[in-house]
Amino acid sequence: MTQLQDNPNLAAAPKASMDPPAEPWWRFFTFSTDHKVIGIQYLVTTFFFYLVGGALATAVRAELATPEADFLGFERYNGAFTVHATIMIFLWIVPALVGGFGNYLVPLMIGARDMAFPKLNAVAFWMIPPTGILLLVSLLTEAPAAGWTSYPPLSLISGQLGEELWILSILLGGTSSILAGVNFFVTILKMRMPGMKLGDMPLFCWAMLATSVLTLIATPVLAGALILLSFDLLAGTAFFNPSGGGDPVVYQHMFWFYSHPAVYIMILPVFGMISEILPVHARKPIFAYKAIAYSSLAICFLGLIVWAHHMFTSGTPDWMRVFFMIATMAIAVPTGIKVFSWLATLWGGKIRLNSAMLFGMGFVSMFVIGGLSGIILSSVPLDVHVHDTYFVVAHLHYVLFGGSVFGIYAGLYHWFPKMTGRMMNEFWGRVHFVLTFVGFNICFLPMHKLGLMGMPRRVAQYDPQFADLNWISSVGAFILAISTLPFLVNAIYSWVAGPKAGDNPWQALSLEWTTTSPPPHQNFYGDPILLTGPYDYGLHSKETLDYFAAQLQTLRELSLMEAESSHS
Amino acid sequence: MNALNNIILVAIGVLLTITSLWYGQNHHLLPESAADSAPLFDSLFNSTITIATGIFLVVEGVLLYSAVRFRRRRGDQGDGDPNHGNVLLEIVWTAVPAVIILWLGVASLDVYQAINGGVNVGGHAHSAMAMSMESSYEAKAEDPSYEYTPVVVANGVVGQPDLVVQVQGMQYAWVFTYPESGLVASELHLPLNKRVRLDMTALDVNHAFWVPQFRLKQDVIPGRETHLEFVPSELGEYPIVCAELCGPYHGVMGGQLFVDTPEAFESWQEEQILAARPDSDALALAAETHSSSAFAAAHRQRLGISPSDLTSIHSHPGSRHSAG
Amino acid sequence: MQGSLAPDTLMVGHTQAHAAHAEHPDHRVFGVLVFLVAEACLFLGLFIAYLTYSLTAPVWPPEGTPERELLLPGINTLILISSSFVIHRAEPAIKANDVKGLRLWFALTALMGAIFLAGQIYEYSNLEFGLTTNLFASTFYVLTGFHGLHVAAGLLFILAVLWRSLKPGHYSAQHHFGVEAAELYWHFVDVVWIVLFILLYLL
Ligand code: HEA
Ligand code: HEA
Ligand code: CUA
Ligand SMILES: [Cu+2]
Repeated sequence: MTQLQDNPNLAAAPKASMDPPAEPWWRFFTFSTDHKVIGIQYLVTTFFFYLVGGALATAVRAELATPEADFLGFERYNGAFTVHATIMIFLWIVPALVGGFGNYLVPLMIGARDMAFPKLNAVAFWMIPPTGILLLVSLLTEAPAAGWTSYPPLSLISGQLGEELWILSILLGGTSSILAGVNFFVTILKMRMPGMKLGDMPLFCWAMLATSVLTLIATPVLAGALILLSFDLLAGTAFFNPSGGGDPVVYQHMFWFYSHPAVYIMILPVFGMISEILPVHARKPIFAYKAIAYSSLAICFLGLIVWAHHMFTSGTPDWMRVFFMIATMAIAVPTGIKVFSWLATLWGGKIRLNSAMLFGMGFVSMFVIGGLSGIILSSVPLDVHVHDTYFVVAHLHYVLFGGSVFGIYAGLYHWFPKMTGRMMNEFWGRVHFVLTFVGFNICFLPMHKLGLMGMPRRVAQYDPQFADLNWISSVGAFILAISTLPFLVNAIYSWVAGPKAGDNPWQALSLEWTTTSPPPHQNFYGDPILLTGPYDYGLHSKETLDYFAAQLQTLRELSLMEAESSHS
Repeated sequence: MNALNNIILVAIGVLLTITSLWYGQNHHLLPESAADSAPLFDSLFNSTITIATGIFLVVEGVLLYSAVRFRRRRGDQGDGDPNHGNVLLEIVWTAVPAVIILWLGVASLDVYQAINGGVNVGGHAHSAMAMSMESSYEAKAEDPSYEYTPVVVANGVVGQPDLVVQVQGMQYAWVFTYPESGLVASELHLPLNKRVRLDMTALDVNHAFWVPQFRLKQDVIPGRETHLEFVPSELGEYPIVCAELCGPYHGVMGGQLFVDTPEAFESWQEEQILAARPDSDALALAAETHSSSAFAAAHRQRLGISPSDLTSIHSHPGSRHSAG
Repeated sequence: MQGSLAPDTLMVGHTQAHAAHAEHPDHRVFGVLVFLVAEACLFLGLFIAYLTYSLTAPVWPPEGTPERELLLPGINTLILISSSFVIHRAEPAIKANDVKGLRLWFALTALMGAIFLAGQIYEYSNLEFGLTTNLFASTFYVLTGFHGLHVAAGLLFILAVLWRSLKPGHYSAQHHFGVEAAELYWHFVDVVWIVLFILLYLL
């Protein structure tokens, strides 16, 4: 019991004896029900798939470096971008955000010992590897080549086996995320520590609440669409096949009823993480907590009634186009509230420009570009020109890469110390940021012009007039590919041999930072206690905070002693 | 807020506005325009770009300024000022976007009606829009960039097209049928300044008919007829792009659109009909019924233009038109 | 809870919290409800697709679709609906620690469910149209079949509860989550069928 003599001070790194037993490496390969283990399992698995999806993207860009279809060839090209997109969405962004960060952070942030249904949680994770395997196997057969949207009738005649594997893969992944959705909904509503009201939750939890609602309502409809599609594909029914009286547009409605909310499933958690990261490194309270929290719910609601903005040229009736145009544009308002609140949070702060913050601010700057191009797309007459062109490809990468991926990197740099107990290397972190930021813009900025000038998407061969911009874009893609290497090396090295992080390297105030890094199995020694609000920066003197830290330390030692005595 | 600050703020504001306005007019992001509705698109696009540029500059400006001005100084362990809300500010940055959105919505509605109004794709909202149409005409009357022939007359009745062409999309070819003459062609010739309606359908999978210079696009879907209506306003040859993924060779499914003087258009029709004489009736018939002979005809037509990918058409499952 | 707590209150908070997390609240029933919401959305999606077809088609069902007789499905429907009331009797039974009653009502429900499924299969085998006859036929088989799968799942669930109830003391007045879950699921399957029946047979 050496701890009792230590000077109890959270800010200082705790003595070795206070360190929790490090997770034995093999636990990450078991059917663990600990939400922290599961969260890390998700993050590592999905990052591997990110590399695979990225490798495919690199191949796509290599094909597009020249106007002729001379690298992959026509068939393989379509397979490549289809699987690229499917992996990036269903095996990277969604599981990394919800499964990865959601799992790791939500219970810690609300002072719970674990998720509401730990076994279910583990089951949901172990559905991800088979999902990926099915998809990768489909690459080896006649790959699914109808795009990630997989519109019939085309999807019915291009590679039956590959298409069916694609469907099964997404059905599995969808089931996984529905189970996760149930888990988060119940956990956030029912498992908050005594005394924590919804209004005391960190904003990330609000975002996860909205996300799980979207998952629960929208994902099943996609499952329905894919089941009908399988029947058309295998049993010869004609739900979506006009030759048998079916209607391809019905599939489009069902698909987008899920896949538009899906894009908010892929951004709301990032909004949440940014709302956590900016205040910590700007040393200021989040600006307009309530507005940000409720805007997540507003986006959740609006996100469910805009899907047909992907179908403005599908011969949808006028009234539908008009309704969906207005509803879509409305989303700019709640999103704007978030963006401006983040800016106000930065304003007058004492900003630490470390890797986490660089990616956090990078997210804001890049996402806004994607959002603005989104507003252009939402205007029916404008969309009629740019629909299915590279302008859309530019938009979706600005929001998905400039948005979601930048956000994930920010989150990784920010919570890596908590997850592993070790710090990442700052220098290489910044190198990673610069390479990513530069490569990203070189790669995707030119696509706006390409689309507007007349280059359609999903083509392996294109008009030579577009050669120059495409070449530039491909160069950017290769820079992006390289940019992942410093991150990989940095992460792996730091995990093994990085300097010890201590409980709270960023002097952050949300609950997860009041326990050790990595936290013990039940997350908290004794019971978690809300000493401050999650964003009370500048509201407490250093003395008060040290005093709180001391109290926490005493409590921790007490509970350790209890543990000791109960064992002996 | 002393006077100097105010001056600086105003200066920034003016600079911002000027930059946005300038970029809105000089973005060089669009190809030349060749249909009477295209200028409408362009002016809406330009004003949208102007606003977007403004918003972009504000956001990035604040970000960069904060990154520099509010960077933590070395050794400073303190916190920023704990201000965490300002109702007035929040109202402003909720209201301003709302207003912008409202404007954009109304403007888009006007332009959409003007471009697309003739084509009644099932318009519940139609009469209502016809109303908003009228108002918009007056408003735009004096603006030179808006000279186009109204598609919808005041009471919302569809104006009659001067020429109707049936368009068929099939894996990797467009087939154009001129009902009056029964002429079937693989390139689309249109007379200048005449209102044209395209009645479009697909034989196998979804395609999309897109002419970038017209700023018009419409999916072409098997089992249903979709329409485009427009007035070509510039002589010349323009690419027809298939914008909807329709198979491996989606990228090479192109076509040419020629806007001819009425005379040139007539003579072209003459030639074609003569050229096609031997099996013209077969073709005409083929064009109506979506039979395999239409498919064959189409490819016979195509032989002329790009034999390169004809091989490809036969060499993969896509061209089983059992699909459609 | 904003910060400035005195140490003693801290300790109080500490011990209180201990008490709080001693009895683990059980959220499983709520979880089942949330899951059923998702399930409902799945069926809702299919229903709306069906409605779209029926409303956009010139004639619905497409001409040439053989007439379906209503008698057998009607009886089947009655059986399924009444089974919901039967299974509902099980909960008060177990709440009164009456495991026998629980077994009785669950066995009865299982029986009725089985009859319903048998009826479905019988109807399938006697219909003049097949899965791919026309769009209506396809929607008919997929919707009813998909629902049938859920009935089968519910049946297995109920049998599982029965099996476990054989183990003395497995279910008690306090602990009978399995019973509640099975009942909830069964009610859900029942409601879905009512909508299905109206859509496919009556409209
Ligand atoms: C993370 C994913 C994500 C996000 C967040 C968004 C956000 C938005 N998207 Fe995007 N979108 C995609 C992913 C995403 N999208 C994908 C993947 C596709 C392609 C699918 C495919 O076909 O393959 C797509 C396609 C797509 C289309 C269809 C294009 C087409 O195929 O023709 C449209 C059309 O309306 C659209 C609109 C929007 C809008 C209005 C937003 C809004 O939510 C944006 C709101 C944000 C802002 C507006 C910026 C911040 C706000 C302010 C600074 C306030 C001031 C601003 C104003 C007043 C304007 N998107
Ligand atoms: C989150 C989503 C996401 C992300 C992160 C990305 C990332 C990238 N995407 Fe993707 N993309 C989509 C989602 C995404 N994309 C979607 C939804 C579509 C639409 C598909 C459709 O039309 O159906 C699309 C389509 C799409 C296209 C258009 C294809 C077409 O329409 O013809 C292109 C073309 O340039 C492209 C490029 C890229 C590039 C260069 C990256 C880069 O950011 C990737 C950077 C590279 C890496 C991160 C990999 C680095 C590692 C290595 C190279 C080593 C490999 C190692 C191992 C395998 C172990 N994407
Ligand atoms: Cu036809 Cu693409
Ligand atoms: Cu969308």
